Amino acid sequence: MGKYIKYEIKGSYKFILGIITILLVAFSLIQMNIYKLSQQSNAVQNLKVTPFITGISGLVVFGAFLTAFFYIIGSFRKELYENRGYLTFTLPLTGNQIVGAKFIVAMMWFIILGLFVVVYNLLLGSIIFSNDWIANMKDIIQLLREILNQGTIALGVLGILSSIMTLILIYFSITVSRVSIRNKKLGSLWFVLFLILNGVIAYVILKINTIFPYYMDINVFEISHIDNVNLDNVNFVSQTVKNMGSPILLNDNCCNAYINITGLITKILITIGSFLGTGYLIENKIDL
Amino acid sequence: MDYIIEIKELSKQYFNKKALNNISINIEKGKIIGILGPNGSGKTTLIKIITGILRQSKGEIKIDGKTPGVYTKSIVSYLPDRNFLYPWMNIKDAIAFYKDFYKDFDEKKAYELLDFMKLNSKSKISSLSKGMTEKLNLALVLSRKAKVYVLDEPIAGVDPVARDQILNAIIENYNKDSTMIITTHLVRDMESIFEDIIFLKEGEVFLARNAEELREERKMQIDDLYKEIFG
Repeated sequence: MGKYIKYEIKGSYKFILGIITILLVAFSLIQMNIYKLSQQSNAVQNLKVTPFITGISGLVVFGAFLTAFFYIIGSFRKELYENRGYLTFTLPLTGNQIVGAKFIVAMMWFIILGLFVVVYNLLLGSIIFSNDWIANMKDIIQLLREILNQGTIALGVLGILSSIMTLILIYFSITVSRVSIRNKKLGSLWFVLFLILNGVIAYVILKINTIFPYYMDINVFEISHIDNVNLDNVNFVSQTVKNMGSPILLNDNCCNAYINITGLITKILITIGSFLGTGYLIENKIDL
Repeated sequence: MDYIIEIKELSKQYFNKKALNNISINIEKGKIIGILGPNGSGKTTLIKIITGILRQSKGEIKIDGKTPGVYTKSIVSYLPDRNFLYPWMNIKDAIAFYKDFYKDFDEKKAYELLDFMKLNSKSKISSLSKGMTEKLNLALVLSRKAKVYVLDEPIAGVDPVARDQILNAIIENYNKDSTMIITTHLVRDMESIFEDIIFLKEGEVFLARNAEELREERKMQIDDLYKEIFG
C-alpha cells in the first residue's frame, strides 16, 4: 500500500502545490491590505473594511478546500470510469489497499492545506505587524492554550470524524453507483445516493443518540446516562437539545464536554463499514 | 496435461445481451494462443475476466489454480487495448511504477526494449502517439517474467513499421515457460506466431485447435479460415 500511496502523491502533488501557491498569493495580498489599513488613522473606515477582509479570507480558505475536495473525489471517480482503472485494478493490491491509500493521501493533503493556512498566516502576520517574533509566538501559543479546551477538542474530534465519514461515504457512493450503473453519463447519480445515505445515517445516529443517551465526560472518561449528567452549567444550546439526541453537550465556558458514546461508536462503525464495503466492491464487483 | 488457465461453463451477460455463453476452455502452459473473432465476439470480455477486471455471470475460471484476484494479478501481465498508464507519468515513471508493483519486472529488459522501440525514457506519456503508446505499453508488459501474458489487440491502429517492431518484440521476448494469449482481428499479421487458435463467434467457442493442424487439415491459412468462418 505504501507504494501506491507514493504514486498517489506523485500524481496529485502538483495540483495541491498549485492551490498552495494561490493561497500564498491571496493571503499575502490580504495581510498586506490589512497592514495598509492599520496604518491609516481612519478608524471608522477600518471598522467597515475589516469584516469584508475577514469574509474574503474565509472564502479563500473555503474555495481552496472545496477545490482540493473536488479534485480528490474526481481522482477517485476517474479510477472507476476512465482508462487508468485498467492499470490500477490490475495491480496485485486488495480493494482495501487501494481505497486506504487514496483516503490516506486525501487526508494528508487536507492536513497540509490546513497547516499551511494557519502557519503561513501566523508567520506572515508576525513579519508584517511586528519585529518581535518570539513575543508574538508566545502570544499565539497562549491564545491556542486558551482556545484548546476540552469542548473545542471534543468538537474538533467529532468534526474530523464527520469529515472522514463524509469522504468515505462519497467513495462508497461513487463505487456503488459504478457497480450498479455502467453508463458513465449516469455516473453523477452517486451524488443523489450520497445525499440519501447521509440523510439516513444522520437520522439513524440521532435515533440511537435518543434511544441510548449515554454520554462520556471527556474530563474523566466516565460514561453515564443523560439523567446522571450534571447539566447545571451546561450551556443553553445543549440544554435545549439534550433530549433531542445531541451528539455532544458542552457547558457554558466549553471547558467540559459530554459526547454521546453510542452515537460516536455508530458513526465509527458506519465509517469502517463503508470503507470495507468500498474495498470489497472494488475488489469483487467492479466491471471495467 | 498441465493447464495454466481452466475455464468451465463461463457466461457473461449484460442485461439481455450474452457476451459469453457457456464457454469451456483449458489453456496449456508455455503456449501462444490466438483468440480470434470479429468485434463483439466476446474476445475482450473473456480477457477482462482472465485479468480480473470483469466478473462472470456464471461458471468458473482458475488461473494457476486460483480464482482471479490479487495472486492472479501478480502472475498475469496484461496489455489492454487502450492507453492505461497515468497521464502524469513520463516513461521513466512508468518503468519505476512497474518495478515497484511487480516482483517479476525486469528493469534492464524494459530499457533494452525502449531502445529497441526507439522510445525516449524522458517522454511524457500524454505526448506519445498511438503507435508509440502501444510500443511502450508492450515494452512494460513484456518486461515482466509473468506466468501468463494477455495481449488485447496489440497491433490494432498502428503503422506497418510499428507493427513489425511490436511483432518482433513479442517473438523475441516470449518466454517459453509462460503462456501468451493474444486477441486480434488482424489475423494475417499475427497468425505465424500462434500455436493454438480459439475462434470465438457470438460469445461461444466456434473452434479451438492447434494452428498447424488446422492449416494442414483445412489446406488454408488461418486468415483464410477466419474469413470463411466470419465472412
